[in-house]
Amino acid sequence: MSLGDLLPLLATQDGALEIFNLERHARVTLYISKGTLYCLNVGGRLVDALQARSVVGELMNARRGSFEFLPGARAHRCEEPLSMRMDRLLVALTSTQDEFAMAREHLPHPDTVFRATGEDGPEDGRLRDFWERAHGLLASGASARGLAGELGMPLDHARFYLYKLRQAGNVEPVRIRATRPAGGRSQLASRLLNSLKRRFFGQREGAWNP
Amino acid sequence: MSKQEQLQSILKAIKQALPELRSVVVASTDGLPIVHDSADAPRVAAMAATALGLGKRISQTTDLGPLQETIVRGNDGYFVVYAAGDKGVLALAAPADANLGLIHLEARDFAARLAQLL
Amino acid sequence: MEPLKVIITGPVGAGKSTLIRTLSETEVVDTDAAASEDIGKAMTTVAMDYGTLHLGDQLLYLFGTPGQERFDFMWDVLTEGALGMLMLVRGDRPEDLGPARRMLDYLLSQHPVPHVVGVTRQDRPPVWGPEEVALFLGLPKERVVGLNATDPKSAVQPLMRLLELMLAEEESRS
Repeated sequence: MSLGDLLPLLATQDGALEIFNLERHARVTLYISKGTLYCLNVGGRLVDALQARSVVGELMNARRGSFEFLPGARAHRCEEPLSMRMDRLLVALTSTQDEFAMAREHLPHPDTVFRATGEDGPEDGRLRDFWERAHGLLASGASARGLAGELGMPLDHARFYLYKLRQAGNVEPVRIRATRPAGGRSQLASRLLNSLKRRFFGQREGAWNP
Repeated sequence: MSKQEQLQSILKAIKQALPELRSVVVASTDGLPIVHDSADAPRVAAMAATALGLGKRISQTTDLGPLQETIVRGNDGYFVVYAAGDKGVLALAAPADANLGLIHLEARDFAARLAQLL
Repeated sequence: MEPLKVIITGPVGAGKSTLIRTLSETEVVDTDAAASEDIGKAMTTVAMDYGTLHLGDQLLYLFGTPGQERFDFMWDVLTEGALGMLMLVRGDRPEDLGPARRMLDYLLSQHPVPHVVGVTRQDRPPVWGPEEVALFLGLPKERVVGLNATDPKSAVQPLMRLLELMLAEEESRS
């Protein structure tokens, strides 16, 4: 049984789901109560909503892992509880995964710099957590690689979010401008243009009509 | 043994013959990794193919004869690229104190074996 | 006089090497290798193509980049300090426009380089023309021109447009 099948079954329970022996993760503990994920612990560290979404997404794709469910167990220290509905989260992640697989070809280059087009965030709930954490960085321009590093998420997830935000019109790629305009280029450009016309069209200066 | 298995066993043999190597990448001449033990194989495979392609061209244009290898040397180590037949690239990352002479001897042998498979 | 360089970039099979061969007065130096993937042709550029053009007393280098994204480090190496960049895309392959946009967005976010896009294969409809390509790439219409990469009088159009736009920009600044 894959974790993708397991999680929905346990999502309605009350207790702690411990997942270990994962290829790419330290021990993960999901604290669930009344169908809500209120705390998530990765390798002894509590994570925020954005990272939680990421981790659960990766768990659903994990090929190997062991689990143990402790009914009734509660998180001891959870200062800033998440309140993520497990059923909604799983549905969103499944559809995101399908979309992600299809979008692979269209994801932006990891180092392309994007900038927020305005103050307003996306309508789509799936993108809002990301927007909350990222829009400060995006105001001055950030790449997927930069965001992945700052926010502690896999590079491909950051690329996917930027892809979706671009589709929604919330970000656009930056066109970098020279810090000093290259002065004197017009003389050069003019000379080159005239040479090209003479060379390829055998015309004298000023005789061109596009 | 399938071709992939044979290539893997050559990879293993290279690492046994030259345990000081940091990584080994076998790639196609157009930059795709074939077998490797590198964490960054796609990037390294492309760069190795570029280096080999450039090396071959320079060697040809400046009349150096057939290309032997292309070496990038940094303070902390070497990156050496050999042709493995017409379609293959063998790239090795070695520490700064590596014995390049020995590496060349072994690598050329392995490159010839790889050439037969690629 | 210092030589200048113009970069020709774009997805695999767009016609970069062909364009340089058409415009170059010297024999084009290439760094081709056998393509191990199916890209519609036998060889592919793994480092660069290099041609030259003498315009009056000015020497122009034409550098073609590889098309595949795994060679993006070469895109940067070659684009650094370029006078301008020409990106070629095939009008008869809409599926290449996504990769073209990805490449363009990446390069323009790293290098403040004057740029023009050339759309090839305009002779066989149904085909994407310069206007549609401009819309998709988020560029003003005047930055996208149609061309035939094998005909010198047509192949030189994007280069001329690049220079015209550079002139116009300087004039509007002063």
